[in-house]
Amino acid sequence: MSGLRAGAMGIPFIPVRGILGSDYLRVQPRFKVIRCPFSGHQTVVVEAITPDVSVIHALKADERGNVLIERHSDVDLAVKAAKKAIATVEEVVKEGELVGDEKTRLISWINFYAIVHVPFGAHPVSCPGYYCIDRDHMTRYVKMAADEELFRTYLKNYIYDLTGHDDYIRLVKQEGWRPQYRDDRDKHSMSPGKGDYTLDELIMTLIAREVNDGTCVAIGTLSPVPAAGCILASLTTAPHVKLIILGDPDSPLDRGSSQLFDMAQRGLIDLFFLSFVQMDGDCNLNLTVIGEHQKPLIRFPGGAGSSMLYHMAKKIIMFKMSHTKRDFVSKVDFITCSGFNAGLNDWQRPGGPYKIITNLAVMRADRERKRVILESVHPGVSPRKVVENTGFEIEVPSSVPETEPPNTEQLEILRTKVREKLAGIYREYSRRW
Amino acid sequence: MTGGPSGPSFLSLKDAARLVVDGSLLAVGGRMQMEPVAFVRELVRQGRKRLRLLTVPGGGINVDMLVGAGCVESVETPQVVLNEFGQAPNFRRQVQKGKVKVSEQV
Repeated sequence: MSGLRAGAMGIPFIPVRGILGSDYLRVQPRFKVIRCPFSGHQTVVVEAITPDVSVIHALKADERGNVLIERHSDVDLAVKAAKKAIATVEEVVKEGELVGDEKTRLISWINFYAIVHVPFGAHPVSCPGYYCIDRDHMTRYVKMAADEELFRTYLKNYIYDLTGHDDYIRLVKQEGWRPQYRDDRDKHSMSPGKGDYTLDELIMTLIAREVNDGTCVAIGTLSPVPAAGCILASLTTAPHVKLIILGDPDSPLDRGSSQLFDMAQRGLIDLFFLSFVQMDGDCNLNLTVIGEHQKPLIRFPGGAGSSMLYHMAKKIIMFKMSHTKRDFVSKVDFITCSGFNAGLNDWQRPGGPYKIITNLAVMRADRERKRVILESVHPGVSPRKVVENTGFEIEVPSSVPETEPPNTEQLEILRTKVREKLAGIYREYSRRW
Repeated sequence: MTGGPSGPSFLSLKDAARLVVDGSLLAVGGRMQMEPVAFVRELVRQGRKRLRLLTVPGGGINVDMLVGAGCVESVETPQVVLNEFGQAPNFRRQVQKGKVKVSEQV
C-alpha cells in the first residue's frame, strides 16, 4: 500500500518506518535504505507503484460515475494510483441518488476510467449489505483448488463452459445459493456452557491481563484469540481501551489497515499481536517461507505489514498455539520481522517484542538483555518441557510460577458476550468455540 | 483518470476486462469481501497471460483463481490468504513450484 500511496501522489518513493534488519531488503527490489536527510537515521524507502489498471468491486455508482465504497476500505489507494481504474458495482442509481451512510464513503467520478454494473460481482465472497460469503461454494473451491486436476474441472464448470457472469449466477443459484445479507451476531444464542476452560480460553484471559485501561490496542487479521482477549478486557478491567480490530464491521477507523499502519508509525499503538511460523532466540520472526525465498519448500500467507509494526507498536505480544523446535528455532529461514540483533536505535525501533504466549507457557522478551525469559508455565507443564521444546536457549529463573487459569466470571463473559461480539468478525471460529 | 470527456464510460464486463492486456500491472481490490471476482472470472475466460498482480490490501480468492488458471507471472502483496478458509491452495502450490514470483509489500 505504501508504493500505491507514492504512486497516487506522483512522487518517486515514500519512506516507511520499521522493516530495517529484515530479509525484505535482500529480496524486494522496491525497498531501499537511505539516510533520512532530517534526522540522519537510516530508513527504508519504498518505490512508487502505478498500476496499468486497478479494479475494485464497490457497492453503488451513480450515472455520472461516482462510486460508493465501504468506509473501512483502502481500495481508493489503488484507484488513485492507477493509469486506468475500473469499478464493478452492485447497483447503478440516478445522479443525486447516491446516498451513503456512516459505513460508506464516496470516490468521485474523476478517478474512474470505466464503471461496470455487475450484480453479485463479488460472489463467492461477501458484499456487505447485499450478500454474505457463499460458504458452501468456498468449501468446494478450497477442496478443488487443493488438486491441480480438480481445479481444472472447477474452472471448466464455473468459467470456461459458461458464456459469462449471468450464466454463472444462474448456476450458483441452481446449486442453492441465496443472495441475502444478515448480521451473524443476531443468529446464534450464546449460552455460557459448562465445563473446564480450553487452551484458547486460557490464552484469551492471559491476553486480557496485558490490556491496560485507556491505551490503544490493535488486532490484525487472522487473530481470533487475541481479539477475544481484548474484547474481554474491554468488558471487564479496561473499559476505556481503544480497540481496533481489523475486519470488525464496527471498527472505529475511517480506513482499513492503511490507517492502522499510519497510527503505528506515529507511535499511537500501545499493543499489537503477531503470530508467526518460526521465531528464534534473537526474536526474529518468520511469516513468509520455509526454505529458499524464490522457490520455497512451504509458502505462507506473508508478513502483512508486520515488518513495520514489529518495530513501531510499543509492545508486541506473539501468540503461537504450538510450541515445538520447529516453531522455536535456532535461526529463522527468513527474517520477516527483525529482532534484537538488527543493530537499531530507538528512533528506528521505538517499540518491539514484549511477550510470547504459547500452548505451554508465557515468555518475556527482554529488550535490554536481548534474552527470552520463561515467565510462567501453564497448568500441567514443567519448565523442563518448555526448554526441551524450544530450539534456542531460553532463560529459566530458579522459580517459575504456574500460569493463572481463568476464573468463573471471565469464562462466563467469554462464552457469552465476547463470543457474540466475535461472531461478527470471526464467524467460523465462534461457531467452533 | 476518466475515460470519456464527461467522465467514466459504462462498459460491459467483457469490454472492461479487455482493458487489461497481457503482461499488465493489475491492482485488484478486496480480500475475502468486496473482491471483483466476476471481473477476475472474465479475465480467466478471456485467457489473459503474464499478469503482474498487486493486491489492495491483501489477496484472497482473486489472486488464487488467477494464479490457478495460469494467468499470473508475479504477485506483489502484503499477504495472500482465504481468511477462515485457510491458505490459498493454488497460490501456495505455484509459488512452491517456482512458477509464480512473490514480492511482499507493506
